[in-house]
Amino acid sequence: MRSMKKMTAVILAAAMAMSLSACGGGKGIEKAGDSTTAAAAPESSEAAGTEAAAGEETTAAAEEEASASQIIIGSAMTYSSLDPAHSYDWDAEMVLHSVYQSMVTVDPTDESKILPSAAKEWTISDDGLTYVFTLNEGVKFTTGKEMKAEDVAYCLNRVKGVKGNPSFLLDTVDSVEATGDYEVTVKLNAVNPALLSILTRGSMAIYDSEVAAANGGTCDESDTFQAYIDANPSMGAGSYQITAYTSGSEVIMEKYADAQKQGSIDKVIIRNIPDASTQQMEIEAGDIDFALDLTADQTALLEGKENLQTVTSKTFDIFFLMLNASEEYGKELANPKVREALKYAIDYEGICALAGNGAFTPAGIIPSGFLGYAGESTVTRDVEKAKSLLAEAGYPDGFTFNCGVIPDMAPDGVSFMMNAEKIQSDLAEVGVTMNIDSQEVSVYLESYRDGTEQAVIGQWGPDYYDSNNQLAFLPGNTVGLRAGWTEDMAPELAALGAEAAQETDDTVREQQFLDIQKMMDEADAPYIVYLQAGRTWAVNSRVQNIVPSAAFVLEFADLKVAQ
Amino acid sequence: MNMLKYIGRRLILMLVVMFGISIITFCISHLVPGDPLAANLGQTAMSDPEIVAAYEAKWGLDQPLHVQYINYMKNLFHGDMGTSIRTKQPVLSDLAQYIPATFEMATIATIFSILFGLLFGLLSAARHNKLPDHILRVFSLMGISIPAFWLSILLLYVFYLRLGVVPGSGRVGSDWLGAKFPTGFLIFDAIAYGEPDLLRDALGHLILPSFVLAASTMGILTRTVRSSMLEVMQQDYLRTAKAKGLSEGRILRCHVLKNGLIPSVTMFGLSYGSLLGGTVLVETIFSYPGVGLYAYKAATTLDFPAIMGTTLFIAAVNVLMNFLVDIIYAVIDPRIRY
Repeated sequence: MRSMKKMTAVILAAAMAMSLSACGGGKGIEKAGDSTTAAAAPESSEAAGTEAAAGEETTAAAEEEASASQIIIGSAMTYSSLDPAHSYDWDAEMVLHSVYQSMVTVDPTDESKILPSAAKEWTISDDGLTYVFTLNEGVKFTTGKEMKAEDVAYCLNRVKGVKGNPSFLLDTVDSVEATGDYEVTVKLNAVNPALLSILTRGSMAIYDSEVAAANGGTCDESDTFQAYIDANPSMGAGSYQITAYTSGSEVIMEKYADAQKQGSIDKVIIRNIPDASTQQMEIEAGDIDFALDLTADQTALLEGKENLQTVTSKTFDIFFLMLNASEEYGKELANPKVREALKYAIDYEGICALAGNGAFTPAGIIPSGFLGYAGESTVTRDVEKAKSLLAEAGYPDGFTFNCGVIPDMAPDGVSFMMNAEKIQSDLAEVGVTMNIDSQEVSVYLESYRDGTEQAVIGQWGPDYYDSNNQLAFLPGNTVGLRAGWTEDMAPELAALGAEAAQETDDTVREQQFLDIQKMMDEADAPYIVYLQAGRTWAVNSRVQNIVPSAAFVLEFADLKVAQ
Repeated sequence: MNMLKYIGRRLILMLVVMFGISIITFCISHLVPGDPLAANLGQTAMSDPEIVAAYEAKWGLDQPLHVQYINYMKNLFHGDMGTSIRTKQPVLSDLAQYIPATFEMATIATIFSILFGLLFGLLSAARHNKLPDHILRVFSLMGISIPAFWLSILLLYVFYLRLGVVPGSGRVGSDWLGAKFPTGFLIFDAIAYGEPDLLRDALGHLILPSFVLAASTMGILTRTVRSSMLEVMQQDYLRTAKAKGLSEGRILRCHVLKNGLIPSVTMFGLSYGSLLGGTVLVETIFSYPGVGLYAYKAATTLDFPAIMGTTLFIAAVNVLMNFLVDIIYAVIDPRIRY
């Protein structure tokens, strides 16, 4: 009885506290954007004069708020920071691209076209080693400061100096200097035809250098600005400003009124929804406007649903089966004849069908949309040919090998495990047993990058949108070495790759990339590229003018919401 | 006096346990296969020796293991849990951000599991081998055996998507996203600052994940309470009470409940700690930004400071709950003396 009385007293006290606090107006909780609204609103109601006028004003404000447009994007966030100098995740690109300007950008419908952005024009010296950019005048950051060449130089030097994830992109850059208020000079230590493409990346974003320098920003490893930038509103000059960011939870962006390119939607929210099934339910219920991480099966289920549309776009991501070419780790797979046999054993059409909308098999390592793309693959499944090649290689009864797979990874909605199981069943028909070795991502990456895996299901998303990036697959280069493919195993191919990396004439480059892929095919390179993924999103029908980009995913400023 | 001595001894033991946990966690997380560099650097950045060297130096990964541990413990004694390799924020501030969310979920789940576990256990014992007992035993078995991820998706599908009676995933609705809450404990903030909308919103978002989190513990508690009640019901003094003509309700309240609940107190206390450990899956499916989701990301990226921080936090809660249970046990059962 006594405890009942105590309980009642506690409940009553809570209720009283609530009602008393309610009278106080709840000052303690600050909604996103409250501070901006407060600054814009008149401080006193004196100007309003009469009560009626005040009432009208309130109504008008309420109406304005009601008509303020907002979209919510559901995404399995892979990034844990939105500091351009450290950020290197595909989904962070859409935030950085909309929040900051880079010197140059790309055409979302043709990523090989470089377009002006913060820089209105540029010149390249005859030797290809000096780039001079002229900036637009009068561009203002959200902090109110005008963007000048010193900001560009600071931001690019910081990317290079902090030794973060994207620092290697500027390895060929010798110096970045402000050579005038609106002139930036970039000097290279080696010719790099991909430089302009690299400068379009979100990592090359330009922000207020004074704020950065005052808050721990430096252009070397002692930099501590990352903690500040992730905890405060962004200071760029893009169409939107980050007003609140909680790592692993949400990003809130609001339209920047002084941006050069104005967005039509007032607020864009990205919510972290790691589970694809939850994303599917949220988009069906209408609580989110975009579901970015659905699998092919899930998007197929949503086709034709009322109030929903599916949007399919391209990616530059290629998926491949890596077969180690070294005798030590590849064992049977080190034999080129075996690799050729496996190439004919795989059912490419079946894999692409499993991967969903937009997936196809490219003929080589250069994805569609890049210079030197060799078209779709003409190799089709031929079980008899595969068996006879295996017999020629000395394995008439097949053999067994291990293949590393990350089981819960599905970039672009393409499940590694589903791919592995399909390939496993295809190979079984020619007598080859592929043991699927499920590995946690950090374990998989360690052994794969050490080149000690016999085979893996791999995916390559380019670091920048130029064919030079795909040269990593050549013997002696990053991916080549992981596949046990050393330079001495194919010296001519390695030499041609080195030549192509420095060539500036696009016609010559295109032919070089085509030749490289042909030579890789003839040498039975240790990869079977089985698909280039598409990307399908489920989107609420009220969202219009969606222009997906393989480079920066989505530009929020393009989007419109139907009233 | 004896009790005070006991409490003092237990407090010292708690420190020893925490120290042991720190060594075990540190060793396991560093000895499991996997490379934090591979998990945190991009494919091409990993091939750049300068970036790799800078990264190792920055996070102290170039030091021998024992030096890394000593440095960690030194900093820990100064209140510094290190900086997360993944988020680049101090682990302490990361935990301060995520703990309130998980604390709220685990507390509501504990209330659910104790309330329903007790009720169902009592009902089951009172109606021993009758229809309610059979039904409740099936339910408790289901609660224990149904995987959390499956139950989460099923409940979301039925109650959110089809019936629309609860909000979807997340901790708050879109109106409150990005808001700054003074303490981070939304229920407390909503009451303290007079925001009934926020209170409704936060409680709505807590119902399903808390229920899923509680399901297994609820099942175990139902069975524990049932069996201890049945044991008490076999005692001679119960027969005497019945012979004296006491009503069934009075017998249950004054004799069965009082004596039968003592063994369940241990379960009540320990369930809180196990609920915290169970938040990983539930928080992933319900997109609930708590310690579970943070711990999962830390584990998959081999973010050592964050792994240590979350493990020590969960271990501390468990150790503390154990301690409290022992004290409460001594208070409610006069036979127990330390």
